[in-house]
Amino acid sequence: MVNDSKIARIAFVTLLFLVLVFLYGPLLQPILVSLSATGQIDSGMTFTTRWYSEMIQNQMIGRSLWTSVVAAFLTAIIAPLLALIAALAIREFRAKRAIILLMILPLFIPPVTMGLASAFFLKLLGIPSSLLTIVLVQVIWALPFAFLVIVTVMASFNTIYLEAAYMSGANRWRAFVDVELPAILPGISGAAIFSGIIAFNETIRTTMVQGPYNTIQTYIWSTFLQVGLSPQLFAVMASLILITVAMVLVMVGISLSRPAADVR
Amino acid sequence: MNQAPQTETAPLLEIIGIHKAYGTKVVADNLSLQIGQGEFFTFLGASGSGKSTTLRIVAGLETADRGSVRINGKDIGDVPPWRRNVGMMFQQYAVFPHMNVEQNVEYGLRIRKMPAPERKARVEELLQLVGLRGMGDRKVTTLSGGEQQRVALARALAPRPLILLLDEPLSALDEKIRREMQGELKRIQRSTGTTFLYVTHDQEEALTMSDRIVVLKEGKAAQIGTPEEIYLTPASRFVATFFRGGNVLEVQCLGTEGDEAVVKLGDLTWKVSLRGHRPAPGPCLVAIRAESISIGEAAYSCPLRLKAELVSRMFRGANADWQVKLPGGGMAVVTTQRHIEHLPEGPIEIGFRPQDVILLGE
Repeated sequence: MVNDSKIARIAFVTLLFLVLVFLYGPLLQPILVSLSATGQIDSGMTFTTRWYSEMIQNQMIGRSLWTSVVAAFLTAIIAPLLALIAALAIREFRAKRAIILLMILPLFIPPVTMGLASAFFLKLLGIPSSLLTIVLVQVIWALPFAFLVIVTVMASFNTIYLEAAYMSGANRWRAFVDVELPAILPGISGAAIFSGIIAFNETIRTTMVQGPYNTIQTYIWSTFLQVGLSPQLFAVMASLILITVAMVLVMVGISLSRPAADVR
Repeated sequence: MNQAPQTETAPLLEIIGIHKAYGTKVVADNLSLQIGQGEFFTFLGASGSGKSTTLRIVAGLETADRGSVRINGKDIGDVPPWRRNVGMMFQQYAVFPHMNVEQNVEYGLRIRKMPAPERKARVEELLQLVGLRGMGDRKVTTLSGGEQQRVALARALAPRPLILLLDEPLSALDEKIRREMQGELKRIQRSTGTTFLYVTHDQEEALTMSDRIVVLKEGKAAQIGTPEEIYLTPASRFVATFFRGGNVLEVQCLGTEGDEAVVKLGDLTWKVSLRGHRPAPGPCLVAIRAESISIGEAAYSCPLRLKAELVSRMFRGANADWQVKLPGGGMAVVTTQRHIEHLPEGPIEIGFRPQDVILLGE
């Protein structure tokens, strides 16, 4: 029995290791390249921060990054708000499944199709490409995720607290703000960070509607297509990997600090 | 302007012809009730009898399909729950988990914009009333079920509601705490003079706490009355058997004499009060409480005696239940104090008083 459990443990650790290598191994390469003086991974690698200082001085990168940050920030505000309204609608209306389906359908539309369709639609309406149109497609993309997160959190909220608030004299709005919002806030902030990350990383849909602008992702993509890979580009990618990981950790931290299960 | 004339004796709450159905299931069937100021009024019934639904219609959390609810003569059908000035306690406590005890209790006062000093004083008063003095800054999630329900009670009473609705508030509590809270609720109801509308499926709870009880059956009022009336003089088989130890026996009605019916069971013939019923000659039903029947030697001193057969005995702590088979094959339960000597199974005599036999309408 002892041997069995030992074998099982070794098998488990090996499997876990392989999964981690499979998932995260590819991400190590850009980080190593970005720190290599030759821009290659070889035995005589010397460490440098040169590509990072070049990256910081590159104004195109700075501008793209700013566009990305602003678009992600706006998406992080707009998508959870719309998702919250939709989630509240689920409670009020009978057509529960229909609303859920409508909300998550954009998830299944291929990105190129969605991007092109959005671009044509905006052109039809005579809306010029701008930061606004970038935010628009990113919100459409982030909304299903934000919606699913918020619906899940709201499902664990017992509406009897709202009834208790009504019977204390609180109208619907007051009861929502005083009683439900504090309970679902971790979910809403989670949805906001989730939406922000998703918007920040969106590339294909954004390419179709960005016009003269670039986000950092579309910058990497177009530079790769037109110029090819450079150590500087690796430095950008490595930075983005680290930023994303940091944001996910913040999101996990928030959801752990106020467990939604506390509110039954 | 079809306002009812208001007199001093006008009921605080009127439920008029309420009807409510979920699909084909009717939970309130043309139900009408009047509840007076300061009354402890209980809805007693099994699950699905419509007691909670009726309470929630009064609260405004549900709407009736037909009928109306009036408070002080005013129809409140269009008034949302938060403007009815009706408090509520729930079975699941529903104290706000992210607020401490004090914040919970003062919630309704904050909404009503009561100034801080007054509010603090009122909260203190209520914490004292419900026995939670000095616990204002405790987190409610660290409190026991009984304590949480006390917080809920204080929160509901703080804004001085016209009526307090209590939806099985003690059902989730342990037996011991539940008994304690029964006494507390009754004491607080008396001392505050608040009208209580209480929903329970627990017969003992209803009997010990209420001024009046309505026994509900499928959304209809099976009987309305004081605990004594309902317990001792049930109007129907349903009400008689609702309480533990309620025997319903089939007897032969031989006819009526004045306001009494002559009934016969086995070879025993006696008279029972009509109580407004008009039984036709033939089989009819009477009720008698298990503790109103004597058995064995104790039966010898009773005015009416029957030969029966003892089937079994069940120990119930302070009491013992005896199953007896009556002439004609009907079964009855006899409850005695525990310490009666052990009786042998088989033929035995039982006895009772005529006034304890209640003629039933159905």
